Amino acid sequence: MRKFLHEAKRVLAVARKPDQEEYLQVAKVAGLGILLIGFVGFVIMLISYFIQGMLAS
Amino acid sequence: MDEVKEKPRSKLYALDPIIRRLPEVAVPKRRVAFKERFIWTGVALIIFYLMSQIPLYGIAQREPFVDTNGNGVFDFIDANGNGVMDPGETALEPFTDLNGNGVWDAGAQNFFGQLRYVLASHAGSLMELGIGPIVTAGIVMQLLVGSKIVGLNLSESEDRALFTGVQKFLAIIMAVFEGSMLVLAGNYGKNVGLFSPAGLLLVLQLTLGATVVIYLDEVVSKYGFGSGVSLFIAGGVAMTVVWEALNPATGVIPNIIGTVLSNGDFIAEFFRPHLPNMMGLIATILIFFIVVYAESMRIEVPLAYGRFGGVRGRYPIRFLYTSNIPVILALTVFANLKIFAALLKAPWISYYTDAPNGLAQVAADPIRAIIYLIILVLASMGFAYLWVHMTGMGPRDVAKQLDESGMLIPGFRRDVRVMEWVLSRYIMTAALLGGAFVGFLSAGADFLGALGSGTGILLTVGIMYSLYQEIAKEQVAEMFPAVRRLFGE
Repeated sequence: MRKFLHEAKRVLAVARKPDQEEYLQVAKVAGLGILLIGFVGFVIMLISYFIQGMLAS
Repeated sequence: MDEVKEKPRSKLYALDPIIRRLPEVAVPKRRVAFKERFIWTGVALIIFYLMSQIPLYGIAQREPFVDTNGNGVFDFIDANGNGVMDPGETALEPFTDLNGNGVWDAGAQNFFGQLRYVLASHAGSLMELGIGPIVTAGIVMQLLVGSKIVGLNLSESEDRALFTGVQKFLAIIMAVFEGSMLVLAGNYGKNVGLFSPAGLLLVLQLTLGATVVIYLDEVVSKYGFGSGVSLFIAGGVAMTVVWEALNPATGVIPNIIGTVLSNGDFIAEFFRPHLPNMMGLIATILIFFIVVYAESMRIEVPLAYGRFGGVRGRYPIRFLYTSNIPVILALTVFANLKIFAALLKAPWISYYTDAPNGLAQVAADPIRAIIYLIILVLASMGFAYLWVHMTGMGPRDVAKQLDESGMLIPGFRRDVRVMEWVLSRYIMTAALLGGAFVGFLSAGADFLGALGSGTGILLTVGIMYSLYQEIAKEQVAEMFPAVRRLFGE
């Protein structure tokens, strides 16, 4: 256990952290991707709620 | 050569006659063009979304979206001039099950609880089981093969074909099983018997829905980007995030606007209980940025090319070496536990393996939160360890690969065992640490009440990132045919 914690600290220390440009690139792509497919689902769900609301009343 | 002994064929070949009859999505004969991949992926996603909107036939429903004051909730402001779903008002949940539990919105009682995001499950719809059967079948097959219980050699094409066939067959069996268990557990009403016409009809619908997902997954894997499993998880989570943020009834942003316009209690919007709130939205964005950071962390092992001592390179090892897979596996096991717990009438089992959602629930029972956190972190580390060893990502496999391509670690003598030793210090540590990290982050984000669940956000960012890498690679290959040859196609 102690050995693992020691190794873990070492691995974290040598890990290369993303630079700003790379970080923003990934954030932008992942964020836009989520919003894009999220909106498709959102629209489908909204239409489905309207239809089901109409069927219910 | 005469010495080569005929390897005993695996007992699984007994299933061969059934596997042969299972329809299969044909392997593409030529390279699938970029645009085509894009279209198949989109079509699969839309079919998945549509199926998660088709309610199961035979469960009770109520009129969607009317609040307790009887106001229709598509009007942004109710008769009192308040936002439509103010704190203190309760929505009549659309799609209430026979027990009176709402089944669609976050916070509503719902069989798989927070796990539904990992399963891409949409309660009360054809997508109730989501990808649960596929992932469960996958875990079982990996365990069977990894532990050498069935003697399949996945590097042989015949054995590999059998493996995927059996996995698909098992997934369909799992769908029938999980569907039956849900009916037995009384998820669709305590008085719906498994062998009553209503019960059988529900199992049939659930199985059909899950089977369509199994084939959609195959279509996406062969003709689209990534896999159907990851696409549907990401799709379900992304839809929930946008829905909970923007929908005109319970959405966080419309309600904030309504409250501000009517000079209502702004602070209360941050902590609305049982509804997506502003805290959740902030937590979602926070988790997003943390995960993006962790996803792009690398450990670079210096390498030299043996024959030309001067040529140096680096072998990048991802900090999240097994990505979010440990959490997916751990939570799929939890979901199956939940089914058994319901059956054994032992609700405490699923109580401690379901994440408290939001600070209110954490405060109500902190012990539960701590126990959940510990269980998830340990299970994730365990699965990270197993996954590395079972999928050929372990130090020995990587060392062998690098050694065969003539690489060595500068400062060490060229020996595959030395390389394995050096790599294992990085790989196993990164895998275990990464497993613990994703488990911790997933639980923590759930505690903050992130929209689409913390686990969902964690999975979705990872999925989007690898999808992006695959799309970028495809696009390069499309534009420069020479690159395609480089990949050996």
